Order: sequence, then C-alpha cells, then structure tokens
Amino acid sequence: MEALSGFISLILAGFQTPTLGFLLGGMFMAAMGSRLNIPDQVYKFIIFVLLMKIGLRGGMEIRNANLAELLLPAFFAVLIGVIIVFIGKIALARLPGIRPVDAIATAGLFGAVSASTFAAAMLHLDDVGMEYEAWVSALYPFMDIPALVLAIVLGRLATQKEELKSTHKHKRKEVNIREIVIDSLQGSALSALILGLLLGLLTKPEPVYESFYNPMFRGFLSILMIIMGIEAWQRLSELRRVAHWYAVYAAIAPLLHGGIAFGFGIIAHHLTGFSPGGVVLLAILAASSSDISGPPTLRAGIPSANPSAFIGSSTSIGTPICIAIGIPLFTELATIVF
Amino acid sequence: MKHHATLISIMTEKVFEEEILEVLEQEGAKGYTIFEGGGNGSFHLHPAQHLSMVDEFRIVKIEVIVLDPNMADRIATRLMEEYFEDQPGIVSLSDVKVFRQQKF
Repeated sequence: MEALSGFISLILAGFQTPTLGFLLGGMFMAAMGSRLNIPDQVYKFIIFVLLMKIGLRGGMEIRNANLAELLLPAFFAVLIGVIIVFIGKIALARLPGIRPVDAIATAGLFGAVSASTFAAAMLHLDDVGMEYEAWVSALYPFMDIPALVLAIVLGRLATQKEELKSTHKHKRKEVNIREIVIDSLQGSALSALILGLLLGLLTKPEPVYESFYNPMFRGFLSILMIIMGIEAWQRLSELRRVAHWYAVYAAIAPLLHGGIAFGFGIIAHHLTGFSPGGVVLLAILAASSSDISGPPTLRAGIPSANPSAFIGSSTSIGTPICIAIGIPLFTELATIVF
Repeated sequence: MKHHATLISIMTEKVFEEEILEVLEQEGAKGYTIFEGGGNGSFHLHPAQHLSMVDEFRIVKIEVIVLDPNMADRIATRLMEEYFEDQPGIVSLSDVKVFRQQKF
C-alpha cells in the first residue's frame, strides 16, 4: 500500500518535471489550436545533440568498462526486441478490425527505441541519484534493428498471404535484410549515437562534453518534449480514424514490454552485476516506441501498412504513457526490488 | 521549333523517392524535377504546414519529360506494377510541347 501511494505521489511530482510537464504543455497548446511552430531543423539538431551526449558519455565509459558485461544485456536487448514484435503479431493482430500488416508494423515500432524517451529516462535517473552504466546507450541498436527487421520480414509475409487470397498478383521486391540493417544504421538517429560512442571511445572529448553537451542536455530535452507534445496531439486525430484497439494496445504495451525487459534485467543483475539503474534503462528501451527514425524505415519496408495506425499509436499514446508512467514506475520498482 | 513530348508526373511520399528515381534512370530519362509539398488522399493525411517529425512522409511530385512516348509508357507501367499497387502514388502522362529537343 505504501509503495502504491509512493508511486502515485511520484507520478504527481512527475507532472511538474520539465520532462513530463513540458510534454503536456505541448499537448495543451496543440489542443488549443495554437500555431506554435518550432522549425523542423531545430528538433533535428536537438535530437542530434541529445544522442551525441548520450553516445559520448557511453563511449567514455566503455573505455574503462569490462566489455564482457555488455554481452548479456546486449543479447537480452535483441531477444526483447524480437519478443515485442511477436507479442504484437500474436495479440494485436487477432483483435477485431485490425489488419495483420498494420498490427505487425505497429509492433515493430514499439519494439524499436525512442531516443527522446531514453534521454528523459537517463535524466530522471540522474535526478533521483540512481547509478547506471552509461554504456546502456550502446544497447539501443541491439533492440531497435532486430525489431524493425523482424517486423518488415513478417509484414512482407502477411502482405503475400493477403495477396494469395485475392487472385491478383504483381511483381514483388525481395526482402533484403542487409539493406534494412544498413538503412537503419545510416539513419540520422543511430548515426549520431554511433558517432558519439566512437568519439567518446577513441578521442578525449571531456572538455567539450563538460562545457557543452552535458549542460545543454536538460534544456534541449525540455524543448524536444514540447515538440513531442504537439506532435502527439496532432497524431491523435489520425489515430481516431483507425480501430480503437490500437489505443488500447498503445496504452498497455509500453508497461508490458518494460515489465518483460525488467525481468531480463534482473537476470542480468544476478548473473553479471548489471546495475539497478541499468535494469531501469533496459526496461525503458523496451517500453519506448520509436517516433522519428522507425516510421520511415517501416514505411519503406512495409508500404501496405497504414502509417496512421502505427505512428498514431506510438507518438500519440505510447510515448506519453512511457514517459508519464513507465519511467517513474520502473524506477520505483527498482528501488523496491534491489 | 516545337516538339511533341510526354510529361510524366509522379506523386508519392518522399520515402519512396529514391526507388522511383532508380526506375527513371534505368529507363533512360535524362533529368527530372522534384517538388515537395503536402496534401490529402485515401492513404494518409499529409499536412504541409504542420510540424512534422518525420519529413520522409511529405508528398513529393517528380516530373520528367521524355520525347519517346514508348519510354513514357514503359516508365508508367513499371511504376504501376512494381510500386503503386500497394503504396501510395499517382502517375499521370500528359502531352506537352517542348523547345530545346536535345535536352530530353
């Protein structure tokens, strides 16, 4: 009971943090029909700086880390990405009014990772003073890429099945896994993260990290949250046009996926001493759904899937739930379990 | 001075742009122009002015002018068969008159 009331007060306090408070502020402005407009170039730059910061810190820490410790969480990250897509394929695709292709694409997006949510989680852990391995950011591609690749492969199979039922056939492109992996790695989000990791690992970026990237992090994230809030509200109208089950899935999935990852995190904690903060970040990687880099990859990979379904679910419900409930929930859970 | 030619207009999302340009090049088109914009259709709403985190979903219009009407037909047919069965896109052909023939 005490844990529950503690958790509720934690969520209430969360509404006033720059992260969630600003996200809700953005939603509110969009709901009021505000024409507040932050140029595309600005948020792209913000995402770049945030991912560089996360990458740099991860890279600097990997220099002194025992890389063997990274192996098990990385393996779990791949496994979780795959499990999330299969959950979507099995559960969401069976619900009424939902096309299997759309369900698979949505699950792919929920298996993929949101850089902004991850950044918000790191900041939250810093604020509550929970230690974590900064190299957890290196786990990002291990969950992101397998989820997207698997969703695209399953999506193509589902499209082919739909076509076999109809008599009509046409030429089809082959699924090229190598191409999807390269395309994800070349995307702007993963490129920035990998660049940060490499620079952190191979150069000595401490002066610029301490004077620029680290101090800018919090402010930039708050602006990004306003943008995410506006985007979330705008996408909500699109989500209304597709089956309501997407909204149900998008509300439950972040917590379910995070819970599964939390379980794997506990195993890693016992086997290799993965830190409690690391377990929380692994859970958030799983709970988050991609808003920026995942959608175009899926769109190109499964052109027949309806983007209103998968982007609407992720951006307008999945991400706000993950930030408002997921981050404080898994942090609180970690203080109880460990 | 004036020569008959065919204008091929292709409307699709930016995310598919690269594949379509590949077809144009394979079929021997000498050049093309790309316009970005917004719009609405059966597939997806594309608000041009709204803040959009994913600019790959913007609408693009690719225009190509070719002298050879058979080449225009070939390009249109390939695009319809290989892409626009299951992804959003519109192809239209129109007769136009061009001046500097050597450019096309």
